[in-house]
Amino acid sequence: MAESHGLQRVRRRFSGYLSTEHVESTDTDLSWYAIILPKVVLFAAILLVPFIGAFYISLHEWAPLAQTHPFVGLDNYVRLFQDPVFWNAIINTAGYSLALLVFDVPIALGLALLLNMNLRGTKFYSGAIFLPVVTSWVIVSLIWSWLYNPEYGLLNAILGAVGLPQLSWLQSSSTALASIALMSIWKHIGFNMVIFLAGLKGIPDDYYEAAIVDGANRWQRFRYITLPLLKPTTFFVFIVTLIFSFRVYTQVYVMTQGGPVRSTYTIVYYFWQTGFQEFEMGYASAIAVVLFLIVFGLSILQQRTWGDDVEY
Amino acid sequence: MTTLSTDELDFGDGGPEVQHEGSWYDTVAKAVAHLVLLFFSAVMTIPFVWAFLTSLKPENKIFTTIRQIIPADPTFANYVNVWMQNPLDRWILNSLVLAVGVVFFTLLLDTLAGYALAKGDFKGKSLVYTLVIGTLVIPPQVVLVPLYLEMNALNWSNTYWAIMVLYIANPFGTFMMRQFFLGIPDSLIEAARMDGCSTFQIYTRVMLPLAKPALSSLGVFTFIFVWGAFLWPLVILNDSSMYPLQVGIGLLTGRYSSQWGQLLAAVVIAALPVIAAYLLAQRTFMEGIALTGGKG
Repeated sequence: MAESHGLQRVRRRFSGYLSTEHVESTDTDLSWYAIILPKVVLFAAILLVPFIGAFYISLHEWAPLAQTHPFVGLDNYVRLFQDPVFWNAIINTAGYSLALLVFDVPIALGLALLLNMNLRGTKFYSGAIFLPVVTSWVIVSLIWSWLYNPEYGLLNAILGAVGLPQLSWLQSSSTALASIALMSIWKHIGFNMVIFLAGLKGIPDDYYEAAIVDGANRWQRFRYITLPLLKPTTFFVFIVTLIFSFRVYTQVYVMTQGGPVRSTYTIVYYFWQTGFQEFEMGYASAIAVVLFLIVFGLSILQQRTWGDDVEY
Repeated sequence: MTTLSTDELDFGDGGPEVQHEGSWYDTVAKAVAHLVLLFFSAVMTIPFVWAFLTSLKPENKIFTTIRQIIPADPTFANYVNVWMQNPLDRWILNSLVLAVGVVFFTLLLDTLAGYALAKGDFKGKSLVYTLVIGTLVIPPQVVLVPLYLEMNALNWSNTYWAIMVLYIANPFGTFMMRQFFLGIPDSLIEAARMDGCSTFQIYTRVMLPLAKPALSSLGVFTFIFVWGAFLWPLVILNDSSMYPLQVGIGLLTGRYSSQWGQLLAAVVIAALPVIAAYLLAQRTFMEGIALTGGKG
């Protein structure tokens, strides 16, 4: 991690007074325990115990108000793997994820490269492109529901103006999921763009200067300097986008409620519906555990390459 | 992510100036870049402008004046109506209490825990660190059912605390602050010890002042995250007066399915505070994302 200017200043100012000899700590371990205790208690009570609880509940038939919660073994999982609605939800979620990876990440990279040219107005451009990131999913979902309105929406007005056939967007089972994905790409581009931009700013100027001296043109500099040095950032963006997109829920709730005819059911939407609408909490927990296993697998992939960071 | 520092997100300072490129080629490249950026800026902002303009049209004229982009006689009637019919002020207050509360506790507890994990010397440190890294990969949805039962057992449903604890417990800030504090040289701490500072005084007098940039990034990111939270508040609350703004607005869709003017007025009210803050502190927001991008 590069040091901030402030830190370097502090270090310079103090360097005259610092001794390297180790000063014995007068405190016992106890003050460290006091410092870390609140967070550890929260971890345990809010994350760890419920996490283990999810596995436990998934092995039971669990209605929240019932007197008993009969143990059913792996029945919930067996039922899950035979449940066409669940498979449909997995396929929808995977398709949504794929759309984000294929469209969102390359566009974000392209925009970051353009912003990195330091043109006049860069601050304005980046500010505008980042705007959807700071607004919430509920807000953008409602705004886009209006844009997608088949009769009065902006998108069909544009399609009509250029002579293309108009679509029913969220109201047709063949386009609803794609419409949600399109909006999500729109909202998420700025997020990935800023991460790419930070990665680009981290590449030392010397490399480019040396390449210019050697006569490398713009494309060659991109191909042989930027792209290889940006590899860790790119991979990071891919994995984070993937993990994020597997949790898609709010847009679906606000825009389509899973419809039409379940064409926009996602894993988390189905989880919410079984757990908190039908109150089949054992079955919902089985869905949650499967979601965890998927995201965990993706995270392992991320951890593995995390250490692969290029040092400049 | 750990390789990013706030210094790297410096807009407008010159990269390598390229003098050698053919000037004609360079001009064309720049013009194309401007066009592309302008196009995307428009795509990103027009939906907001469109929603705002629609919200200014009288409800009964929205569908008849759809081709009229700028409303002929703008009115705030939709705003007044939706404000009168819904406890928007209460929902905004709820959202503010939740967001400010979570930001406060996140900054406090995560700097403490991050400090202990980075500089502490105590038994069980590696176990706690493993716990942080381990919980980092748990999607929050996985704990919702047991947490819901737990909160009901505590009789905490329909309280601010029930919503806040999930976000305060998020391990990301602890991880981020640990990484940040690792970068602070041990010699500073030893110097403070020689001056007679206790472990806790080193936290308040050395660590916290140095952590300001990281604190503002984490704070801004946490604020956006909690302000936009939806699923957990939706699940744990059944008293509509406790709804945060996002849940309240999200549930309006059913009632206002054809009253787009009022719905979009509510949307503008809900979006405005964050957008205004963003316009004032664009850089802090972007740094917050660049530094904390890994947070799920």
